[in-house]
Amino acid sequence: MHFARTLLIGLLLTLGGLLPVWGQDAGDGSIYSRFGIGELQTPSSAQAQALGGHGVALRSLNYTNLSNPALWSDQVLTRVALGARFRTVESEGGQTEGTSRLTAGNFDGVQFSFPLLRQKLGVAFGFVPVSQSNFRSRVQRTASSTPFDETLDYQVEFLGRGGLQKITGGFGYRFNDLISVGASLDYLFGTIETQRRTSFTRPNFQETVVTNGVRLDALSATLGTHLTIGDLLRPEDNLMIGAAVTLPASLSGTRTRTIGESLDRDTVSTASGGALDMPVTARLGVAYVPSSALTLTVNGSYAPWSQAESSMTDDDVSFAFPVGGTETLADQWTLSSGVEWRPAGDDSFRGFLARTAYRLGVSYEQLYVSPNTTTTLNAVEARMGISLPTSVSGTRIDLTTHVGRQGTTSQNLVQDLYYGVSARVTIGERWFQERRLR
Amino acid sequence: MLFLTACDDNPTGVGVDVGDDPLQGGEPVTVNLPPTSLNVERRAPVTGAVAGNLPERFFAGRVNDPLVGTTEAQGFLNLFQPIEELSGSLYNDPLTDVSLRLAPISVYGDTTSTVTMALYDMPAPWDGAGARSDTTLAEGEQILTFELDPTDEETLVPLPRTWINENEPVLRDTTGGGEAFLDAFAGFRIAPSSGNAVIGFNRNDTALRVATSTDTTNFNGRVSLTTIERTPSDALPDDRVLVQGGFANALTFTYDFDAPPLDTLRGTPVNRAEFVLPVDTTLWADSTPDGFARPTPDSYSFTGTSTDGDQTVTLSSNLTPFDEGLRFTGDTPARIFEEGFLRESAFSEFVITPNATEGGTSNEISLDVALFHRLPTAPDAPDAEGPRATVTVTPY
Repeated sequence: MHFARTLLIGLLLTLGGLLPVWGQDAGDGSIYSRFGIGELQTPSSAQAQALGGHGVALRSLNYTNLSNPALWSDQVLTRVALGARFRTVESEGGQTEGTSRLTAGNFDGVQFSFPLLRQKLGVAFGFVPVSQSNFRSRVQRTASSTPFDETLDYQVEFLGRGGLQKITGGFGYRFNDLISVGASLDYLFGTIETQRRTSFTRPNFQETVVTNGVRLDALSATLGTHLTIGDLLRPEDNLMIGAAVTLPASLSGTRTRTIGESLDRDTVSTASGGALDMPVTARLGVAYVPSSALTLTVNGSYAPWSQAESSMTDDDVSFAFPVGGTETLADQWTLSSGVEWRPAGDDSFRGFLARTAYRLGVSYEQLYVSPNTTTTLNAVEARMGISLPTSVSGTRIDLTTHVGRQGTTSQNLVQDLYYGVSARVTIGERWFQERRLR
Repeated sequence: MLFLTACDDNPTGVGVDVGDDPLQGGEPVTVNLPPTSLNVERRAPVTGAVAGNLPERFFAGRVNDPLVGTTEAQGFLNLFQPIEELSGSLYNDPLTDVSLRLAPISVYGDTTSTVTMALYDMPAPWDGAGARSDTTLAEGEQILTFELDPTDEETLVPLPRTWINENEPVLRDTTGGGEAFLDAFAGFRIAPSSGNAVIGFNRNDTALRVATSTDTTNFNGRVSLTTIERTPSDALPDDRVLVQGGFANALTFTYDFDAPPLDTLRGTPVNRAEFVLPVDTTLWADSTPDGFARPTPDSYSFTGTSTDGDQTVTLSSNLTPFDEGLRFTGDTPARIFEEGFLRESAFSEFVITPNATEGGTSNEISLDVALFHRLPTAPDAPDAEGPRATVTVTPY
């Protein structure tokens, strides 16, 4: 128990240290985050992430899963959850030899939820990342012509920064043991920037920074439902089916091109009034819980990004968004599966290791970006995690490692090998409930 | 985590060429931008000052420069009366000798021959403080002519007995604590008589040496002034321009950021900028006879006139020329062009003035000469030869 408390404090301090940099330069990642609206994130729960995906069917008293509002009806405790991720991406391919290794640490969102009616009606709020653009490439070149006596060597660095966040809030309602529904309202906002820095080693040459930025915001909604069938194959087992749909959203955008750094930027062009129409996203999941010690889950999702339209690509006032136009967008679908084993099941009197949950998950994804418009990109990923109980009932610490590969080295594209770890603290306590005994 | 993020990154060019719209651009391009206009401002600078103020120099002589033309300078000098020393022998005994002590500090012209100067009395007191080089003063009677070797460190010019006798009472009159001397003694004018050189003097090293049989004192220089006249040379080509201290002493040029070619660079970030104002070393050498000294400025001041015309901003107070001309680079030129490309030009005009001392003092005077290129008039003239700004930009 002492170990768990120490770990909890350490994690909270670590997460606290990351808070100030969330949304700013938090590191670098895949070049594919340059396309579309950046690399898509999957806000769900620590449990669902370790099992490979969004887990829209995973009912849990210990986690609030943001991927399906219908699951919010199951709450018993008031919960706060926050987490951070740490990921390294090694990329190779294209016309450049060698390997690029980039690392990023990111705050992974914060959730707050509580029951209005115990295991009947619950409310949840979240502030979570939706996408992230964080690429970085650097090339050394020599100017093709120069009036100077010597050659003029320079370096160009391309950086992607920013992404979309989401403030979400909604409720989940359980009609009976069989079915529950939920809905949330989502406000998406954020800025995505592509920066180009030209620098020199010769004296009297100053660095120039050109930044193409697009500020986006949209209103959307997510609807979800969940079905639970008990005693299907054996006594006390549960088969759960969940589905959620995030409605299409029109991301209004204002594009600006600026020169200079941070507060000393000069805006050289602005184009407002455009929009990127995001498609609907449908998620479906099945979870089978043969006993309280074992959970099996399979999930899938689909988003027809190839149908996305943008009115920010057809003028020459500024740069096009998304990069390369909507032709670089492709239908996205994912398939994931995972297993969780918790030896103690619901027995809270067993030992620490028995109450720890052990998880494995795998996922396959067809990416929603196709930079050369002809090649479909895929990602495969494996995850392994543990969920540590603490001395505080309802509070757990989840650690998940992941390793994956995406992209291809053919067609002048690159392949990313990525790996990392994420940590999430989920704190649960009884709030707002009257004492029965005085 | 943040520490690891910072130290573990190894970005390369991997990914730059991904997609049909790859990451591109960022190549710097260097362009030569001639000024929209370039002229010489002929000013009549302040050449007069009293002791303790600049300029301390004054000039006298005439030089016929094959490149510049004829420059004639007349020096005016008035003196302090050393009241406290005018006692005893100096106050009572007859003056045995009165000489003007001159110490040449610079030569412009023929250094191989002596020059002849004429020394004149000034007929009336004159106010030299703040007077300019085109000042006209009343002429007095000539006292004498004397020869001066430009290479001598000191020349003593003995004044004739008649002048001593005539001025002895005035030199010794300490009435009113020196007021009488100031009212009655107006000093000297030194004008060229013959020869081919203009000699520079320092007022503080110039004195009237007054002696009796037993004692000597100095009436040191109190106020000086130089008047300058120039007759330009016909040999100067149209595509060259002279900047000469004391006469045509400012090179002015402008950049119109709203006109071609500068307007095509609007919004373009600037990596580097350098003002280049080349000088003609060939014509200079061809026009310089043996033994002829033509001083050049050791440094220049580079100023800008604000767009609203209210302010003169010193951009560089000590710009050192190179053999091939004047170059000015660094943060300031880069900011000037960045300002012009991204916002509005901060300056309506740029002015280059030769400094007269090594320390960069532009309040001193000189006759230093520099031979700059004018803007080329031929449409196909190479833009890398004339006055220009060499600007490196990164188009987006």
